[in-house]
Amino acid sequence: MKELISRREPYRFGFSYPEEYVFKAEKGLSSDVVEKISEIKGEPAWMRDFRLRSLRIFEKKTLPSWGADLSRINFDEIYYYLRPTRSQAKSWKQVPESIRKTYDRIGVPQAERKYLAGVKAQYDSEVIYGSLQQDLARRGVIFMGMDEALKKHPDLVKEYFGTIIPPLDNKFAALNSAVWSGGSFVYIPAGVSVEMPLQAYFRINAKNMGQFERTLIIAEEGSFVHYVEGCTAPIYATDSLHAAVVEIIVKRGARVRYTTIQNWSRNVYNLVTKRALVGEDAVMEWIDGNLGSKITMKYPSVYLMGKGARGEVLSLAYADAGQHQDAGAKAVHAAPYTSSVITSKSISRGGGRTTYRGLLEINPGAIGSRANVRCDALILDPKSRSDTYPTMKINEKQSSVAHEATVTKVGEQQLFYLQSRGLTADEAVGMVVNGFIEPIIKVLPLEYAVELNRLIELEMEGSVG
Amino acid sequence: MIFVPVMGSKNKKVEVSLDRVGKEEQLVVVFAGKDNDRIDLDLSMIHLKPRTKGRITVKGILRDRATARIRGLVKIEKGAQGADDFLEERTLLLGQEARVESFPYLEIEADDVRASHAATSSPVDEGQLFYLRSRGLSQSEAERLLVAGFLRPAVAEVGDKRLGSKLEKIINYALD
Repeated sequence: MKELISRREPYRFGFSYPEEYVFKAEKGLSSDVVEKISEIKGEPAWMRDFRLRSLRIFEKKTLPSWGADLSRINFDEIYYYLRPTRSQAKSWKQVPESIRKTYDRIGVPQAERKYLAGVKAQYDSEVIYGSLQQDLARRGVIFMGMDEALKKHPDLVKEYFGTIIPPLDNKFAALNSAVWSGGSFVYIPAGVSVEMPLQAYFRINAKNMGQFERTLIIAEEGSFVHYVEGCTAPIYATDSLHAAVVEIIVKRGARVRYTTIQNWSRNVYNLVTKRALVGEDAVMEWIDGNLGSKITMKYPSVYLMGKGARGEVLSLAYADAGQHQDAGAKAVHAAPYTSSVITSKSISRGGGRTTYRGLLEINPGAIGSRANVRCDALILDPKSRSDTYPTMKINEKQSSVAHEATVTKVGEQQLFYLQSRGLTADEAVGMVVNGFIEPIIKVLPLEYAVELNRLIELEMEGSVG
Repeated sequence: MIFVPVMGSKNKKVEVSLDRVGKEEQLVVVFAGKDNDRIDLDLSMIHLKPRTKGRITVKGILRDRATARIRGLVKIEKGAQGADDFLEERTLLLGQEARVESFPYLEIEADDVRASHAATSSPVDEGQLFYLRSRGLSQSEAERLLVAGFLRPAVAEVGDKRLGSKLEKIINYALD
């Protein structure tokens, strides 16, 4: 067994190619740096002012007093902007060789390669590759880098940008608003249904690299889109910070599904604000998997603003040695007959810590609303820890709210049974864990489901004995 | 068993330490609020030793503009293997402006445990109410019956007569 553990690679995707940057802002944060970023990007004055205003908010706001330990982040040691290549590549061939190699090494799944024309790839701070599928463009769908959208669709961006998550929301939203770079802009016209998932592939490279992407999705009435975001990052000795902001508007009768599999290397602080405003009879679904990073604090939110709006959050967290996954969900019921379902599954082992933190709020007047929260935690050894911190604020009697949570370990009987059928102890644990997270796996796109199953098997090697 | 009846505005803090191997304890809190009552409950069960068993059951009703804040914590310390606990918080909302905030927390630092919690809030079941009214009961009689049916199981299994009368008092407080 010892041999098996020692053979495990520390981090499968832990490699990196030499940095090739055209521009690298100085370390640390100041209004000069922020102005410089805006100037290089050739942004309109309103965006520059927005950034500067956000910077002042960031400086005033304190770190959250709750949640994971963030005291070791040194904001002065971070590069707030890097621009990898001069302009956005038009086709895959034009993407620099070294960057393409990185993708090969991650093993971008075959299914994804097939659709590469629709893939947005983020290498460091900016989207460097992006080519829109022609039929999507014909139907009026916009899918491009945020910087590009600011140039090509300034009115749309200005109308919605920062309206769902204003810089005042929290310290990291303010930071992102000041120094954001890259991310995706998605616009789905009324009645258009995009069958193929839109995918973005994010990566961090370069030491002390801050990644501050900004994503905005607008789904007009009766439209549908599934947006998929996957992350892997190479391993580095110094701490890295990832503070993204994702804003989504789901208009009447529309449906948006947003899938994330986060697998940052074990030194990244992953502090992300994600929120969706959901209109009448509209549906928002967050599927959020957190496997990597040193510390994650992420609570995808649904604000149910229209009558009959629905929200669903599926959250998966895995914490190994040195990791703290502080994840969860928020649902705010602000209109009658709204419903929300939150399902959280977490696994901790090797001294890792998982935390479910959630908010459920029923506003006065949200009659006939229903909310259901279910949290299950699996602890694989006595060194690990699991917490559940839900908050429920019920301000309307004509509503029904239920919350349930359980904490368990892998059953001896289950293990014994599986081993009696010829499985090794490791295989048996892997199988039980995969069964435990099944509700999340089954809603993932196939290639992600396969990847995740494989990852769990890999992680479970050497977990018993 | 520790039984804590709460009528009207009150702050109650109860912490139970299970500090002996195999120790068992049950904490039952029944509360009722009406008018502008503000109830604040802070309840915890700390498992310090192996094979300890705890239960926290909180049941309450809120009328008018009454509000309740319920903090519940089950903490299982490192090494308290074989610990077993269930934290339950159930609130019946009778008032249009009644509010409840619920914080059922679990902190688990051992792996061989059974720990779970459940929290619910709901109005009186319209179907049940309709049935009782159709049998000739008045609105308030029907509500009283449903409230009693909701609260009674919290103390029923103890089989202590004195608790029954305490429970009556709570129901009377809320519904008169």
